Amino acid sequence: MERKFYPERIYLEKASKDFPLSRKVIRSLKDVPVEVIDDTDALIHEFSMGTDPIGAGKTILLLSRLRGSFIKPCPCTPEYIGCNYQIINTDLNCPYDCTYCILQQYLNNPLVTVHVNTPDLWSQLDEVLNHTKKTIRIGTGELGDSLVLDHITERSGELIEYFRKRDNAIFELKTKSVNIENLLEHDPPENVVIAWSLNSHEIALNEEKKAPDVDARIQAARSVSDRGYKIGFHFDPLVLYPGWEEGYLAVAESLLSTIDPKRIAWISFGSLRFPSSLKSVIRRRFPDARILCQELIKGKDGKFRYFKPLRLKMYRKILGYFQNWVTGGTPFYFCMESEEVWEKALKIKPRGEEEVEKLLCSPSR
Amino acid sequence: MQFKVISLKDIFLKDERFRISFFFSLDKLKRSLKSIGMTHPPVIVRRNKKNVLVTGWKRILAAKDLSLDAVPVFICDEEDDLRAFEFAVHEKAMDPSLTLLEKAEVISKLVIFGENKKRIIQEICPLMQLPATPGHLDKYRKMSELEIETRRFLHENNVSLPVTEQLLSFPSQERKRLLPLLSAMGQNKQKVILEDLYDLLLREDLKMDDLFNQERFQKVLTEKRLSRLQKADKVRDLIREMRYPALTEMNKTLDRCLKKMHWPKETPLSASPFFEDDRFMIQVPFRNKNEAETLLFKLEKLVATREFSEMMDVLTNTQNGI
Repeated sequence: MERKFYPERIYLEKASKDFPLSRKVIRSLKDVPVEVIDDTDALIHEFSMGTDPIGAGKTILLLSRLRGSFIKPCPCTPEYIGCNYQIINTDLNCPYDCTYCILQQYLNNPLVTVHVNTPDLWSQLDEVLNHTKKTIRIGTGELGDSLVLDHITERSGELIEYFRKRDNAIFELKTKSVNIENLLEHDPPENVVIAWSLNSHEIALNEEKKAPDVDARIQAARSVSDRGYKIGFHFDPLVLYPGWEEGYLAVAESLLSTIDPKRIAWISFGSLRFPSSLKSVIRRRFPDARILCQELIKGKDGKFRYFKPLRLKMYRKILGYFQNWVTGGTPFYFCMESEEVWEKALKIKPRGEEEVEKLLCSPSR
Repeated sequence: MQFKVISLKDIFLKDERFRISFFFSLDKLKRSLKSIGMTHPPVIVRRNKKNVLVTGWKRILAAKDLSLDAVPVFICDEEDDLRAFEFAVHEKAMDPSLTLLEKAEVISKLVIFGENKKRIIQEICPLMQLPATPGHLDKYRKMSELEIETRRFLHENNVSLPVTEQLLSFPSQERKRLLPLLSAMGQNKQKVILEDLYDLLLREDLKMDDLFNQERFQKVLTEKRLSRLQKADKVRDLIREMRYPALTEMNKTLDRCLKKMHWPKETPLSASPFFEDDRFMIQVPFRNKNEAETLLFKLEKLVATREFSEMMDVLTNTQNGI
């Protein structure tokens, strides 16, 4: 079972102390020392002066306002096919310490941060959704884990209730956590998907430190699915290592025997990829990490990714494990892959991200 | 600060607490001292009734080589080592010829003298034009603690920070074994070979000796007809082949096919970088209509051959991971 996150210290931005979410978090963490601060930038700078700011930041909770927009288009990557996803940045960072995590390089702020100005979130969501005619896919879980803080923030319930009334959105909570108690208390809306990031047992154990093991994630997915939610899975990043075929087969078998495919909204695949600047961060924080040692070449977007024949081999093999689900109509898609790889591995040739979006927003699902 | 001319014998050179330069040639400085004398006096402090040099090691050693009797110096009355060392820091910061290793020595000395790390990061590193994070600070300290051979190599080749960082990730014995190879290469090649080697050894769970004792490496390393640069290049290629076996095989397949077809060199056929795109490219450089027609005719004939179809099948299948 997952050891729930309890920070060693809370920093509360002075200007954020009257938000209900700040009060709720502090109430639920009443034994954790709270320090009120004037300037979050100064705090972040101070932390950045430590020898491992990223590791240290995982023990701290910062409650602050998000001054910009909560909602942003997923940046995806140039030269490869995206899926028109919109991301909601409710939180930043997460207590898990995954070797490959892009946030180690992407964010300047190393602290686990909850943006507490929820009224701004709702008004910004209203603004976007009131002016969108097509169905959009939108979700948290891009710059943080969607559920790992849910016992503290109870944000999932509020988001679910908000999106229940928004039928032009498919809302996704994306997680590695098994923190599902709040979800189970809500009636599942049709347009909400709870998705788990999955990997092989070996990769989860060695490269996804502090995250729940894969079986626990699958069991959590089963519970949520039994409650009536649609669920999703993201095999991302798929990692090559000696024994990867058996490793991913074991997870596939576990999934196939536990989950009803009719409840699955989508399954995505993405192979390990990262900008070159992340490599030095990984080497510094995890000098013995072997995930950097396979045949990673520079892709068309300048990021490292596996040599294409190896990616194709891996995708085909793992998709083969799910053959019954593929032919049965469960939507599979690739994250940040080329048209060529889509066609060769999935036998689908989407013409741009709108087509991928259409595939995943189909009303039949 | 007091200006004085003192006897060289009165400077206590055994006390190297402020010294940051260790590897240098004195020839140029000696020529200059001979012709115009010492225009920039070193700084000394008094410690245990002895004159300890703070700045000007090269100047004093050059003067000693020239058997000068006396030299002009500034005597600093600062009793605190850290404050006295500030003279060296500011003098060194003005020196454009300072190598990364010497800068690292400055930083390391400051830490030893008890300077606040925050100040080093916020003030001194920018002054020395060094990247300034706590992680970097650790690296500068490690650099100054390296074995003498590696420090000499870093200094004499003015090795860049990325290459130095790579080098630091190897244990001392392996580092020493690498130095002869690295010293024959430019910094880009140094970085590539170190990165590939680190990844390869980690992936294959090998020690460097195990790798270099393999027959294919020994053949190169012991070949007397090869120059140092040739050896380094061949070793780099071998490491790269082992680090990227599938990519190497793909490149070899393409080369083999082109060779078999006697593909004309004047119209090179190439794959996209790392075969990431499934398209190939043929360059057809020409000066006039006639040349263009001749080349295109030649290509048309080549493309129509069975060998070309076979080559495309092989390459497509390999690219597809089959």
